[in-house]
Amino acid sequence: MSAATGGAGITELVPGVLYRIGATVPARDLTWMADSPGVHEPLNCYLLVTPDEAVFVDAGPAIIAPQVAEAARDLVGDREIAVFPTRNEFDCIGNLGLLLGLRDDVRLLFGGGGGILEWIGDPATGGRDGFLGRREIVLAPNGTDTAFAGGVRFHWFDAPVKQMFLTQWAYEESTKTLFTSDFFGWVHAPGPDGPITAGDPADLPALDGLLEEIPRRMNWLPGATAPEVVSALAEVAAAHDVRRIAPVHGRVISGPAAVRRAFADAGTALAALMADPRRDA
Amino acid sequence: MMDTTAYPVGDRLPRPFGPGLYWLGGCSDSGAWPTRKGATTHEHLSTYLVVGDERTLLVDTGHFAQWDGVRRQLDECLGGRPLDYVFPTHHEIPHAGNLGRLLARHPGAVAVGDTREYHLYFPEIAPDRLRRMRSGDSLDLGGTRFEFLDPVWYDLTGTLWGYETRGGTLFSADGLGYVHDHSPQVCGLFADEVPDEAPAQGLRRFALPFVGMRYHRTGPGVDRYRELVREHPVRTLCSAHGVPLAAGPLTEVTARALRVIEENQESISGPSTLEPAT
Repeated sequence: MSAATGGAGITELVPGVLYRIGATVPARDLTWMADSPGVHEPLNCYLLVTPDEAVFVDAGPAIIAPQVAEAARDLVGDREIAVFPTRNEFDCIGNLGLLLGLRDDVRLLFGGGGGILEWIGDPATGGRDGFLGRREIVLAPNGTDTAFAGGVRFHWFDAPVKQMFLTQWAYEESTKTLFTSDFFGWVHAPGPDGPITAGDPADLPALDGLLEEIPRRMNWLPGATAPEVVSALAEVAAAHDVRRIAPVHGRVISGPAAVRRAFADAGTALAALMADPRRDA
Repeated sequence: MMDTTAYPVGDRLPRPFGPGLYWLGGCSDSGAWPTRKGATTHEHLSTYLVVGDERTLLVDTGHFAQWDGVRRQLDECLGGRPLDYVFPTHHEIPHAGNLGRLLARHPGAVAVGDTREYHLYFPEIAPDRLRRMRSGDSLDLGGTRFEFLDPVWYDLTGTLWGYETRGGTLFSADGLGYVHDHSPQVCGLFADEVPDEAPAQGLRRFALPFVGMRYHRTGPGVDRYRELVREHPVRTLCSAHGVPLAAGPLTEVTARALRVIEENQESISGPSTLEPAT
């Protein structure tokens, strides 16, 4: 843990199977939330291990490199390694070079979004040559799924709500976990030590908080005419038995009651924001 | 030119385009993306250097994958002058990917702009080298000023545009860029240098990388752009995904781009189903 970060580096979400990796940082100088003295924001990526494989969902921002390295050292062992980035942005791929550099046989689960292997932050390669041609790419396009040992199966799909084109979400069957990239990241930690999970609906912010915070990230939502976005989010909830929502920032929302409340609040907030006439493109 | 790269840096850049103004960078080649083999569509990933009498400022850092090329181009343009400011217009890879490397290579430089979040992505940068600017703030470069402006079209929250006063140069980040065919090779050419036989004069589709654009009537944004350029007269437009546009090409290309936006034509997220604003 660096002086700039706090919180447990590794949080076991499902014993022996699913881990949250990251740190907390003060809620200061972040674009997605207002400066809030005392409040801290968890920064997350995730590791799911099977008897044979270790699957990282996102790689986290560079500031959590020590925690990602710790997880790779302590939890991966000799398992095959795969990495799935939900977006090609700094908060998701900051340690992708670190992970792809662990071994020559690390695979990238790749859903789209550019010549990603060339711009992975690997100081050892200097940039241009990157990992192109040196790591296997396993395509993970929207609408498909990928099975791993032990009944682990990821479903890949287009993010129903997104700021960046080509954002993907993933649902993993065995842990009933929905990985939501930069959405659902509005549950913050009251202090540097967390907690990292939010298991009680009372832990979730009131609707006003969502209305203030969601447009900071999805800045096009106010005044938009996009009923299909609201329905796409509802369809995700209906199509999957989600027991845990795992965003790249904010607390992990866990348990059926908190998850139900989170989806309901999100739908209500989206509809309210779209009815807001304050902005047009 | 390395044919297999998705991020080629050609040998035409850097190029000067006005007093103390240089065009640097390269292109992205979607044909080299893992899922799109064979296409020849390019999009500029342009970086711009403003050299004042006393200070220098780099607009966008260049794409992470183009570090070697951008570093060489920058050294050539600086000609021994120090780099004083680096302005990533927003925190995406093509715009900010080399921020850490630039500040390490130029120890006197500071990052300027909306610098929120960069402490998460470049923890090696000392906090006092991240200087937050807001719309209306400006920097005196000597003989010219650089003003920070709210963008007309946001990409990520935290996007800022810039305006350089001596040349009347507007730096529009992701706004008003376009993609171009790569046959013949037109990368690094000004718009009036593109040969007539190039498809659509090398400009194929305006790049409107804003996911939410299809869900809005886009006329008001065009109105805001016209208001901005009334307040800040533009002689050269520099999109991060375009080339420096001046004189006739500025008028022609901008008019076409604004018409595409105003009529709610297709953006990167698909065609709008909304009627144009009346």
